[in-house]
Amino acid sequence: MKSLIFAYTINGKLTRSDMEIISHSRVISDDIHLITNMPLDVPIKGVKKILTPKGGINQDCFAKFIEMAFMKDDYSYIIGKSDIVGKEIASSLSAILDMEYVSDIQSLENNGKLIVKRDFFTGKLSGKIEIKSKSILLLKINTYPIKEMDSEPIIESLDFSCPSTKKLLSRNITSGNKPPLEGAQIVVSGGRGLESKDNYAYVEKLADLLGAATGASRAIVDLGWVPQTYQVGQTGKIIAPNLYIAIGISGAVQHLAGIRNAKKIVAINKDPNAPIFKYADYGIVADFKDFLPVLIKKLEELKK
Amino acid sequence: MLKIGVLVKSVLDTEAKLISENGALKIVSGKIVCNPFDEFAIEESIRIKEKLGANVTAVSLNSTGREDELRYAMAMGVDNSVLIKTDRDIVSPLKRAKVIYDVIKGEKFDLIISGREAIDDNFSATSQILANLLGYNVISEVIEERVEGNKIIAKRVLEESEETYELNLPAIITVRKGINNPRYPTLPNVMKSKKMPLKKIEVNVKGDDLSIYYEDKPQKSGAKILNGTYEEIADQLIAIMKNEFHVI
Repeated sequence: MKSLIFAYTINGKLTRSDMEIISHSRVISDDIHLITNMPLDVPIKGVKKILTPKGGINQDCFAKFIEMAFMKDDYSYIIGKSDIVGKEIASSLSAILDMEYVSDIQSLENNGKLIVKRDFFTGKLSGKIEIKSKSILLLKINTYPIKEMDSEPIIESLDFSCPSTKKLLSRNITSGNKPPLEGAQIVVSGGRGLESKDNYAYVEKLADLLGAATGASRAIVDLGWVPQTYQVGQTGKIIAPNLYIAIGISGAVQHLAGIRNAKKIVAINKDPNAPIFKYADYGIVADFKDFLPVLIKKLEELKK
Repeated sequence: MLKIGVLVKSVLDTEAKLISENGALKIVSGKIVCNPFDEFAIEESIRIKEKLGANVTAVSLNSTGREDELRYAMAMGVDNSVLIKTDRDIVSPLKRAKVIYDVIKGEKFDLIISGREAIDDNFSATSQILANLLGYNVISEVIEERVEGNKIIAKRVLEESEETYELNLPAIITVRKGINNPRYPTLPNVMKSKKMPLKKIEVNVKGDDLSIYYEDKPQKSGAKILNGTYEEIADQLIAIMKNEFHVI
């Protein structure tokens, strides 16, 4: 089976999650081509061919470039990353190529039949779908291991451009030095139990020491302590870190919906009856103001 | 006058208890509500109407004939509704988008707004596929917008950045939480909405759909509570992060 993996980049560099997708696609495909929206700084291994336009092209044009590549060769699947831009590109391809598209895929099984597994109802149930025809598959990031890859690709650079009806007026990078919530290996979150906006500094300090992203419950977003982009949960972000640390978060169903795929959860709450303890792997019943300074000091010593 | 469409999906609420019964979905308890993200879409369409003047139509698709969420949208301030009643449930976003496309292509909406995703299947695809079928510009995850003449300026939030785009109308935007605070309909408006125009269109769905075999998720057994002095607990936690979680 031949697959076409698309990777959209704003700086010509592939990310860890792109490598994750490429590596894992080998479960269903032994002949993988990569298509990007601009030439790569460093060509990667593990694919047979890399297709790029000669100059950089925007996202809408990239979808047309992928369509063109797909029509020219005999691919069974188009595979990409299940992030916001990935979903926009996949939706566009689904319409243009009249192909089914499944997002947020958490596992691929290939025993003669291709079965993909993803969550439904914001993680309440998982569901298996058999893929019976040529399809677009988006894989959830921070889910798959990266395996060693060695094949050297052929690079094919093509002339491609298209008119644009959508104008980018500005772009601000918001993540700064911190990892973004989606795809972060560790996330530290705070809730109303923090008692005041100033105490969110504890969350930031701990996150800093662990190289973690910072999140929040809906309660403190609504109080205006942190921006909405920090919100984890049903109407916020759905995340799947290796470790989630919840500080002063009681654990409402809506919040839990956002962390169902966290691999491990540690909860710190002074109320021993907080629902979050039913859901966490480890619990610390303590006032964060007493406990966190001790933990932070020890982590700082460890860093030295 | 600006013609706006808003896509509204009826979904099981967050509190619903759901299990798998031999691969089929079984609802233990739960009620049907308006998809929370679509409430932001409805509110945004009404705000545009209040600012610039517009005719707003809510569009919903289901196999049960349920009108409640469309009535709710009209109680909030939407002018009229279209209910697409299919002869069976549709899961595939491509299929859903095609059915909606067939019904609304003649409406000539200038702008269509929907929530960023529905909380039942979490595909966040139908409205974006619809945009591509209609040949409309599309942008997802919008947190701020303003319509200016035949353009819309939309700011959206990505995982690691914020982008502001200028799009020519017609366009579809999907909106996220933070764009507005949806209003509650007043009682008189709720009463009035019961008599407002709702067009029901029945559609027989052709072809194969995606079929889903549901599975329960492993249950959590409750946290192991770490005991001791704060010093001791901190040491235990660091050891767990190091040896069990391998994160430090």
